[in-house]
Amino acid sequence: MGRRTVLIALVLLLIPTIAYAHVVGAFKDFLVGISDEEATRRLVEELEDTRLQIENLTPHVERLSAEFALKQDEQIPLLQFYQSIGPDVLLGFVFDAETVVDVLANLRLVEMKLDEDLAALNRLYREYLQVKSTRDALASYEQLLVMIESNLKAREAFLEEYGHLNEEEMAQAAERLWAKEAGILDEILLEDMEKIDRRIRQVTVRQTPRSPFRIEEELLNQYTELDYYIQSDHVYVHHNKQGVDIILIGMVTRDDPHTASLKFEAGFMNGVRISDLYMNQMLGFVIDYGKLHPTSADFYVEQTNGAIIITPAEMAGE
Amino acid sequence: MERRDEELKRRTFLLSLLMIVCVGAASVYAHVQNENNLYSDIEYSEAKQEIVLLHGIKAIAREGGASVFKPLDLLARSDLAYWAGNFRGLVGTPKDIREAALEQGLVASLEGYATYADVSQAYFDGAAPVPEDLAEAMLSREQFALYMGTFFSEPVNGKTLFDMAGLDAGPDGIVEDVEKEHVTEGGNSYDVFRIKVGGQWYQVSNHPKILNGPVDLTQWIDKRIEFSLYAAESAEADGRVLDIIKVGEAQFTEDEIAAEPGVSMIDDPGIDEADRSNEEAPSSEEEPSSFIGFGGSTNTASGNSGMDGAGSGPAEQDTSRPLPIILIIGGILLIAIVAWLFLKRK
Repeated sequence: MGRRTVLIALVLLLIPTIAYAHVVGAFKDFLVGISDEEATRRLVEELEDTRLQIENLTPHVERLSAEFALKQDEQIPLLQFYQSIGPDVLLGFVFDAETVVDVLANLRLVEMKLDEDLAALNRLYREYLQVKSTRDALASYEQLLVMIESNLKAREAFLEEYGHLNEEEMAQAAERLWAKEAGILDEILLEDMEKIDRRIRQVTVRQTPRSPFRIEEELLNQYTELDYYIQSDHVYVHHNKQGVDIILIGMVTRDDPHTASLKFEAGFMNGVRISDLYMNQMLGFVIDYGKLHPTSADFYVEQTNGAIIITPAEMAGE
Repeated sequence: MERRDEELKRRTFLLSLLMIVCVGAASVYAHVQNENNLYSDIEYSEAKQEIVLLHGIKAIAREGGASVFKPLDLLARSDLAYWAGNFRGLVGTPKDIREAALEQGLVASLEGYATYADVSQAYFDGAAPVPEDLAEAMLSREQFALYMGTFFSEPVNGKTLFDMAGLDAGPDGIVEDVEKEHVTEGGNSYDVFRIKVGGQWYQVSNHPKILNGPVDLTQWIDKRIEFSLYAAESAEADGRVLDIIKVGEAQFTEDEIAAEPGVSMIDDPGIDEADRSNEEAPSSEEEPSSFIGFGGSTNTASGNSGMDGAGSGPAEQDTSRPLPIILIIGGILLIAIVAWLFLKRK
């Protein structure tokens, strides 16, 4: 009985549990069962399928982009022309017309034509953005799959080395590996936290003074040691060094009116689910909103594909 | 080799047992979903609200893979079969549901693309009105969402889609207070929200679908809820939880909910030079270069669009400039013309 309790306790520390309701999408599909030998095959298929979808979408995105650029190039001079000749055209309408109704009708026709052209241009732009956002989301998903692939490879290596052991010994091996890596990972996380805190304004972008702040994945990863993949549902952190592959999964949420932080919910080391007990001890970066926007009283924070969005509360539309 | 297989089976069995032991901890994680995090590609869709609501009532469902809805893709009959089958209570794997939907006549085939008539048949046994002359027209997934969205308020056979999903109306009005409780159970930590509306507290479900508001519900105080719906599974009055909540539009700006690229803060003149880095913000090469300057001066270090919010393209943003000038001048001239014509007639 004692031996069994020890075994269960040890295995629970590092072997995947079904407590993966919050381990979403691809992670649930590929990493939740250590003995799932089909995972790699399914992952490769999924990767191929995703890449194919991206390949199919890319020409579409490029075509729409080119089409929009062309139409826009046609439209801008036209609008500038209308603007510059506006008074002359109007006077022409007036002097050529016999009645006020003619003048108004001609003006309306010009307005309608302009509205039509602009609406068509806008539709094209929306269509371009729409297809591009689908393609970008697939590209993000592909990044995740590649990250998982790396984790699965590390799992294969782990099983190759320790697969012959019984559960207790295997759990102990995983425990030893984690004990060794956890300290290193902690240090790296802390370093990243300090870097982000120190350079919060450098990793943040803002389009206009009335726009939200954005922490963009690509820019963030230029400064950090770990790789951060920001998706609309979660933030994924990847660490791969010397045969150890760790993925941490978390979300950025507001702590108080001045800070938000990345809080981890789940993690995998070499394809083995890390216990929630350990996850609660891992600290993600902190966003010091007070430093970013000292005059603001509060903010909203959300994740989107590729970026964390921080919106000053003062911008709330009333 | 055989020994190894046996060992693997034994291990799998033990792990399965452990998994069963841990089921209790599995279903408690809260994740508030809105139009920005439900799917990664509906930000620019005209049907994003409908998509969230349809997902909320389980009229559409995700099937693994990337978190994309692909609004502009044509709706495949096989997807329609899965969605409608799921909505109408068919159970099993996606393949089972598709086959059952076909057997029960929800769809005529699993091949090809769906038409408006197919959608009406799948969800309403053909009773839903189909737009004139469009019965046999194929529709995109976005058009599907817009079409289905009409039945949130328009009953078919006396029932709206909400009625069909078994959802009852919840409270509406100003949010007076919000409580967030951080609960740890079985090693999982999650937030549970309660909102106070009209002097009464209401529990919010662990995975609510919300519209027009940020996912942190503590920031909803003093905002107005336009409508809400209780989760279908809550049969008892005391155990009822709000599952769908729509905050009134313009309570929060588009910017608060939407995503838009921007310029690096290192270009902000207010930033200390010492903080500047040699590294430049990345630029998106694919974006049409003219996007950043359509009639205007928007400068984005990230090289992205000059949009000022979700769904507002440059055509909307900047091309409005020439027209008012014409109209203002036109207005002044019109007055002069009317006066001139009046005098001419005399």
